[in-house]
Amino acid sequence: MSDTSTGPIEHLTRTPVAADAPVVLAVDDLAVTFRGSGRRREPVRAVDGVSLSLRRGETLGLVGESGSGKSTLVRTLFGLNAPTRGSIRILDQDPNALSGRDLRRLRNRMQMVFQDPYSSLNPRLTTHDIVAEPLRLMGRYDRDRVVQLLADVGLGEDVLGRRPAQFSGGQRQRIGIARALALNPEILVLDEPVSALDVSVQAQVINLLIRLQEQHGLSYLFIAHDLSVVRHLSDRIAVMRAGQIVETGPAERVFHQPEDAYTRELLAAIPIPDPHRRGALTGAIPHPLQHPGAAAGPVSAAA
Amino acid sequence: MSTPAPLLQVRDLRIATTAPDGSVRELVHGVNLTVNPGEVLCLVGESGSGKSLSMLAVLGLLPPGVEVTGGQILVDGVDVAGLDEAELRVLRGGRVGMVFQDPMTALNPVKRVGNQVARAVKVHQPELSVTASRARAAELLEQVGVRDAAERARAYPHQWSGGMRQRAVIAMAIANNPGLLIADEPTTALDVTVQAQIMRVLAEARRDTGAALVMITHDLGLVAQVADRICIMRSGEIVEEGTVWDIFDHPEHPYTRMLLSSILGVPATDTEGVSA
Repeated sequence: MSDTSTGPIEHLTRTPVAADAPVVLAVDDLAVTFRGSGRRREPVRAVDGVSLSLRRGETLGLVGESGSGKSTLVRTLFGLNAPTRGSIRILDQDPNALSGRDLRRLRNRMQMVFQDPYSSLNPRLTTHDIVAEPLRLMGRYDRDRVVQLLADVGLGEDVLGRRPAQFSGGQRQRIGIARALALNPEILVLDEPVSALDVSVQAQVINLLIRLQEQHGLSYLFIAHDLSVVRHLSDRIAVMRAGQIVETGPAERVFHQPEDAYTRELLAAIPIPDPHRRGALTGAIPHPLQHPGAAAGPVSAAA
Repeated sequence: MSTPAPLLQVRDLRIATTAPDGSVRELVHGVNLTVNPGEVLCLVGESGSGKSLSMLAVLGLLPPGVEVTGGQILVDGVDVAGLDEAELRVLRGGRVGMVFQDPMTALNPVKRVGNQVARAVKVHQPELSVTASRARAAELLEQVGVRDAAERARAYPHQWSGGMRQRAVIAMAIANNPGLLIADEPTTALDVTVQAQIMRVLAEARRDTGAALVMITHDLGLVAQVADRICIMRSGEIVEEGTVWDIFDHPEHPYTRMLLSSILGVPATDTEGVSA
């Protein structure tokens, strides 16, 4: 399947999640503190009392800039950091109370799609082996299943023997998604899954994610710094800053009536792709070319 | 209507690479573009479209094995192909300032930031004393919004944040009052609030120096906000060129239309709901 089409891109829209859908991921008052370095040794509160929940079929957009603690939060969800305080419940189980096979089984039900499709796929493996790996690890290998997973993400059988270097960024991200789906997870954590991709490819991968979510009833924790992508995909948005969630609410509400000053700052910083709405953010230099259709003065970027 | 003499003229530029087996592959197929004093031209296209190569060619900075195989590049009417390495060094950082995507790789990790900015000054004004070039460096850093510049200039690049480093790179780019700034994805590696700050710094730098700007980007939001004119590139060719109004209001090429249709919802004032 080709990555760059020339026709206009249709943006799929999502069916909103039912309000009574069961909670699949619940984080309560989670804190992760690292020992500080340097002379003062002040502890770093990377995650500082975060609570959030995700329902079946729902997408929660988690937005934050670098250093906000979103990556530490994700690492803690996957057991790569130990929480200093608080609790995590994945599908009604506490991963910190489980071990061995029970823990592995639970982990299979929550999978991750990484930001960079160039570094998250082993360059030496064929596409077949990349997607088959989780199945093999769990003793569930089945070639037809590999083919089916690739078909689900829009890739044909011809890609089976090819290696990551032979694919474009968008195709690689499709392979990463197929691998994440191999063990039939219920929750996908998507860490900036489209920010490394060209715009037209971004739209295609986002459409794919929307389709897969409806097909499989997946819940997404979608992490991004790009608020427009998050808005398009999310039922709710949580904005994270300095280890804390400063605002959370329905996507449209957060977008149109942000309550927190930092959320407003983030929204105001998005460059609006419309030359008729030039804002202060880009310097507001008087435009040298007069245009009859242009607004009389610079329009503020955000209300 | 009088048009000022173009600052940069690229005529039928062809760039090709030669593989080890001797086969030649053309990457840029006859690009024409003009940049007038003071204007902002955005080069828009997806990865591999040839936008960065075309601008690297202007600076004589093509990577090894990649060469200009045809056409002309004129800066202030002078053909860049006729310049030797010394003359190219005068052009780079002098008449033409450069801002690259990743400020960490644009800076030398083992030299203090202030000294690097001072060096950018001194290369083009060798008559300046060390003290004078350092003072000028601090001044430039203040100009791009680094507070307590004289003090903080003693830091090494890794001690600065990405946004601060990009400010330092911009300070170097404007050190010699360039007529033209070339910025290749200057904010792609930065957070969105930092991006807004850097775009403001760039706008102010342009106001102070009157420099024209060629900005390479794939962010249509940035393009809409800053461009006077736009060139849309695809597969080594410019498929459409026009004012920002032409391109956004009346795109003609199917590829331009596809790019514009890939834009997702934008904040505020648009009221259509995503999940309506």
